[in-house]
Amino acid sequence: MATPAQLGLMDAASPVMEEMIYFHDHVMLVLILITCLIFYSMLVLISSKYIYRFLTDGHVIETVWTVIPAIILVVVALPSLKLLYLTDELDNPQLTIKSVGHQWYWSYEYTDYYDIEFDSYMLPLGDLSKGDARLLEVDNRVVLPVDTSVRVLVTAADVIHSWTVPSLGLKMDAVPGRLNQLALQCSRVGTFYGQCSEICGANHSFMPIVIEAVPVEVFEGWCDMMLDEE
Amino acid sequence: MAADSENTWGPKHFIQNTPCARNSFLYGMGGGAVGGFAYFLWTSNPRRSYHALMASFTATVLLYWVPCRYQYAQKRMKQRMINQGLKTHIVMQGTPEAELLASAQEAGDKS
Repeated sequence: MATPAQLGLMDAASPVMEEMIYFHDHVMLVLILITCLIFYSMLVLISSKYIYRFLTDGHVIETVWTVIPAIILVVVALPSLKLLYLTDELDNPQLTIKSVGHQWYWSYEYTDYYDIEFDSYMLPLGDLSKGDARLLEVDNRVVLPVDTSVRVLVTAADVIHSWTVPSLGLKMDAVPGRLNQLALQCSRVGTFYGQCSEICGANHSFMPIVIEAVPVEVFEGWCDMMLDEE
Repeated sequence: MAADSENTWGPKHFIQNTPCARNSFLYGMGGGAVGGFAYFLWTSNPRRSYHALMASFTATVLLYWVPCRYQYAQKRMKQRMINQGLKTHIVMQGTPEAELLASAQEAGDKS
């Protein structure tokens, strides 16, 4: 989860998020170079003694400042498009879960092998244990096996919501009447938090998402426990 | 609740923790200084030498950064393939599929 006043990206917990961080580094360098160039241009212009009142055009400089930004855009766009298509890739998912947005909670369905369905409500302030994150903890977490390709089908039951987990590089709108597909793969065990990212009413800020990535044996035990409870 | 990462952001964090960034800027500063000084020796024009310094700095940074990141991405991909191969090997060890895979690999190596 993010620390207070955090500005940078969260640590990656999936291969796609790792690639997003690397792309962010690449674009950040291009932006730093452009900023250096702009500051230098400002310095040169301010310190210049030359004034020419009748300057109307400069064909060479106009060509230069058209071609160079076009090249910069290509340098940024090529890895960007590669990453965009990578986020859409679904590598033979071993598990499919459904995430349905409601006002104002998420419900999840694991219907591949058994029928496991549960709702995930935010824990109110009074029910939090010591060390729990305010506005982020839920009563029932999404438990997933680590290093497993998972397909998440996202939809909504009433208004548009958005299922987001920043550590995994996931964000998908939950639109009523539509099934959106997400590819998810947790590369390490841990607990990953997210919050609804589409304004959906009074309690839009109070319907978090919590994914708990666990080893496969633990996941199997959790499935057995959920089936026993039902 | 342990935090995922430290709350660090800024140029220092970017240069220290981003692969290829530190070397790109160091080579860029060196290349810029060399390019600017060489232009000054050639033309004795200080103003244009500063322009040459900036252009050399930018070009050197980019010329180091792009190949370095490309090689880093290739190494990353190879590392992931090796990790995946090791995991598959461990999971399938002792199964008939593992023997089939091994024989197919030997046939591939021989051809």
